[in-house]
Formats: sequence, C-alpha cells, structure tokens
Amino acid sequence: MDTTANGVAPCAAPLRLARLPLARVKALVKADPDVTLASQEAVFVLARAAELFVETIAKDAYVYAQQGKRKTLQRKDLDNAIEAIDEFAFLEGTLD
Amino acid sequence: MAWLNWWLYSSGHQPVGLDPPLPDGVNISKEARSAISRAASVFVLYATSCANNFAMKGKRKTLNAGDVLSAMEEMEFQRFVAPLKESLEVYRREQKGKKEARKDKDKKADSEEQDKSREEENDDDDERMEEEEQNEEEEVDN
Repeated sequence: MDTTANGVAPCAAPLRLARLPLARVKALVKADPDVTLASQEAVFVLARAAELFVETIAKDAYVYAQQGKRKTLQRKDLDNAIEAIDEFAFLEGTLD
Repeated sequence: MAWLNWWLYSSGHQPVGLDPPLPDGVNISKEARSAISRAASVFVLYATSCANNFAMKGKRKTLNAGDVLSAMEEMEFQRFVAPLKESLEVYRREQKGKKEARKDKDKKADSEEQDKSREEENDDDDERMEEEEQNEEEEVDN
C-alpha cells in the first residue's frame, strides 16, 4: 500500500475510520443552536478531526510527563500543554 | 469514554496521518483521560461553530465537509487537513460501494418479480432513484 506524506502506512483493514462514536459527534453538532443542518460527510470529518486532535494533545502533554520522569500522563501535563501551545488556547478554562 | 481508553491503548491500526501518539508502557491517569475526553468535546463544538461560519458565508444552510476543513485552517490545525482529505476520500469510496450494493440488491429484487408489468417497474425504479439521491446526505437536523 502507498504510504502517506508522513511515511505512515494507512490502515490495511477496511475501515471503521472514525472510531470516535459518530452519534456523540452528531449530538455535539446538534447542540449548536446556529447550526441548521450538517451533512453526513461533515460529521464524519469532524469525528476524524477530533481523533487527530486527541492524538496531538496526548503527544504534546506526554512531553511534560517525560520531563517529570513519569510514565503516567497526568492532568497537570495536559494543563501545561494547554498553557504552552497556542493552538490549545481555546481550551483554557474549559476543562474544569 | 470507553472508546477513548480503547483507542489510546490500541497499537494495532494507526490512524492515517500522524505518528503513534504515545509509546508502549505509558499510562494515563483517570483524571487525564477524563480531561482529554472533555477537550475533544470542546474541540468538536468549537470546530462546528467555526465551520458553520463558513457555511453561512457561502449562504448555505447545510454544513459540509469543506466547511470543516476550512475551520481546521482557521483554528490553526492546518496539518490536519491532508490526513482529513485522505480519510474523506476513503469514506466516500466506502459510501459509494454501499450505494452500489443497495442498487444491485434492488435490481435483483425487481428481476425476481416477473409478473409485474414493465411500465410499473420503470416507474418504481425512477422513484427509488430519486429517494436514494435524497438520502445521500443524511442530515443532522436542528
């Protein structure tokens, strides 16, 4: 199989691509009073994006765990990542 | 949150695009897991709102995949765009495959009912095709 630009081979298995439950993502989309309709594709891409987001934040937070010589990712590692990384600024104050 | 636990600990199928997030032997505290889950929800809500702005700019009432991709750029997650596009392609092929399978199934059912008049069958086919086109976008209705 071809590899992606990042050199990561795509999943060989056919594919439950978005493992984040679509129903949960749909519920979140519906929660927005300004949204009238969302296509099935849009919901799928949102779910997939959320997966990528989880990967990203876990990875970034883990750097702090490593600094603390820990193998267990803790809440404070996430807080540190959120404070340090611009892209996570939207999360400030939302996790408590 | 079971999905999150499963996904964060699974090492088998890696999602397309990014390196494995966490090496083997790493644990995640309950509090951290819970926080990540909440962060994911906030992310979806923020992305939805952002995407909806693009839809409204385009004078559309239905949020589409392109709007979500635009939202990612707006939110400074440009690096998500390429893997998302790839996933979307696969998803579209999957959906197309399902649709073909449904059409074939219908065709088979039709040919088995041979005492129906030809005219009647043709009308039914047209109706069913229209229905299928409408169902292509299962929409989240508010």
